[in-house]
Order: sequence, then structure tokens, then C-alpha cells
Amino acid sequence: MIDIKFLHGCERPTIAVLYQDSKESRHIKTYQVLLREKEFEDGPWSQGNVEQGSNILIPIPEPHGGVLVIGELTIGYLNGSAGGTNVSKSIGMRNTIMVAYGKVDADGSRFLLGDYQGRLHIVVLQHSEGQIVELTLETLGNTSIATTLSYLDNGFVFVGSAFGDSQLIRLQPSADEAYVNTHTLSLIVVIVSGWY
Amino acid sequence: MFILTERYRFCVLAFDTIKQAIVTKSNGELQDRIGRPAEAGQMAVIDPDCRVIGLHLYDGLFKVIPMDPTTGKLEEAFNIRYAPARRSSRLPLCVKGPELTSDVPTAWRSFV
Repeated sequence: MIDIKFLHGCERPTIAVLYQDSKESRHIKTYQVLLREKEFEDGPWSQGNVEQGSNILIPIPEPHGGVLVIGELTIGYLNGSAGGTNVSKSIGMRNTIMVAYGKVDADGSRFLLGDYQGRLHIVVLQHSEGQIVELTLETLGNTSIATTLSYLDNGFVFVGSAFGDSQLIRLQPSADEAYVNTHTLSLIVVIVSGWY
Repeated sequence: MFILTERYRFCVLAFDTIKQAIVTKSNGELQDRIGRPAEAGQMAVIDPDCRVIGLHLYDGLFKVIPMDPTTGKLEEAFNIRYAPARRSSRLPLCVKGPELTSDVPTAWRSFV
């Protein structure tokens, strides 16, 4: 079991589960939670053999639904309906391990991703006519290694870090400048107990 | 806000706008007598429509806390058993037999 997330826009509570089998292949399955029967029922879709380095599922809000699967080499979007065909889109990226994500828009068309080296990326889900047609990924800059990413408003992002100083950063709208303005950086030290 | 501790205790906090204070809506314990603590670490997920809270605390078990979507009142938790993925940290099985005789070096073959 690597990650579990609830899917959006389902009639009954539905989880997507990312797990690894004994051959170290990773798969995604969905299950509906039946509250009265206290059981699982197979969900609307499943996907075998996703990228081997997949480690994070990000549920996409309505109207699109589905999940982003974050791997070490690719980011994929998966969705499906009962009996229908699976929708899948994916993009490649430089080999890295993502450790945190944060939702930017309420409709889930942009997500921030933080990797193990402290690089901050943004993945954009481009949609047309209610369908997700393309994914794009852009690297924004360097921050502390993120444990949590929270988009606040007006381009401000809180980068919570268990490995370094937590930061409040501002994303620059223009492509000419550095995306992450480190001038407004204010350090807020997080005290973490010995668990890390 | 739902908070789960490593010692299997949980609470639900909310902000009371009249009292201007944080209040505890609910709290309790989720520890089971048996079960192996989840290998991948504890996970807690909340249904976007606030119908259930899902927890992965022990391998092979998914704990469900049903929730009233309008009042946020929690009901009694129950476990759903699922077929767990077999442990990946199994010892490699070493087989020396005619069916495995190939060009693959022995050291590699033992991990097949």
C-alpha cells in the first residue's frame, strides 16, 4: 500500500489505492465503500502496471474527477467510468522524486509539486470541452525541501519543511523574472520532534 | 480539522465563530487489539463530500469512520478487510532446476 485517496464526484464514497505487488510492479485500483454492508465493492476503474516509481496520487476535483499519478519519470492522469474506457494522459519529466503537492485552483487545474531536492514545479491540466487534453510541467525554482505545500492566495505559497526552514514565497506571474521571488521570503522555523 | 496521532488517538477540531475559540467536536481512540502496524505508515483520507473518514493503520485493514455530511457527527468506526498486496520484503527464492537453466547468471536468477 503506497497511497490512498478519495475520488471526487462519486455517488458512493470511492477510494483509489496505489499499491505494489510481490514483483514490485505498481497498480491502481478503485473501491467503493459500502457503509451498510461494511464492505468494498470494485470501483469504476483500475489501472495495472503504472510507472514503477509512482508514489503519490492526487485526486482531481469535479467536474473532471480522476487522479494524477506522480512517478519518478512521468506524471499521468487517469480517469474512467464503469464499463467505459479509461482516460489517460501522461508526460515525462527529469528523473526526480516528488515529496509534496499543493492544489492551486479550486477546480484542480494547477498543482504545485515539490521534489526531494527542494525544486518547486507546477503541473497544469489543460482542458477543453470538459475533457483533460494535455498536461504540462514547469519548474519554478528552489525552495526548502517541502513537506507540505499550501497555496494561499495572490501567488503566495507556504512551503512547510521538516528538513529546513519553512518559507512563505510568492510566485511571479511574468515569465521574464524568476518565478519564485525569494525577497519576500520570511523564515518561520518549524520545531519537529525527534521522529524525523 | 481531523487530527490523528501515531498512538491511534484522534480528534476533530472546529472554530466556533460565536465563542471565537477552537472547540473539540469529537475525540476518541482507534487502536485495534490485533493487526500489524501499516508498513507504509499511517494514512488518513477524508471523502470530499464528507461522508466518511478512511484510515489505513494496519496492514490489510481499511478503517472507516462514517460521518454525517450535514452535521459532521461521527458514527462508530469499522474495519474493512482487503486482500493485502504480498509483502515485497520477502526472501528471494533460490531454485536450481532444469527449468531455470539459461544464459542468465545464477546470481540474477535467484531473484527472478
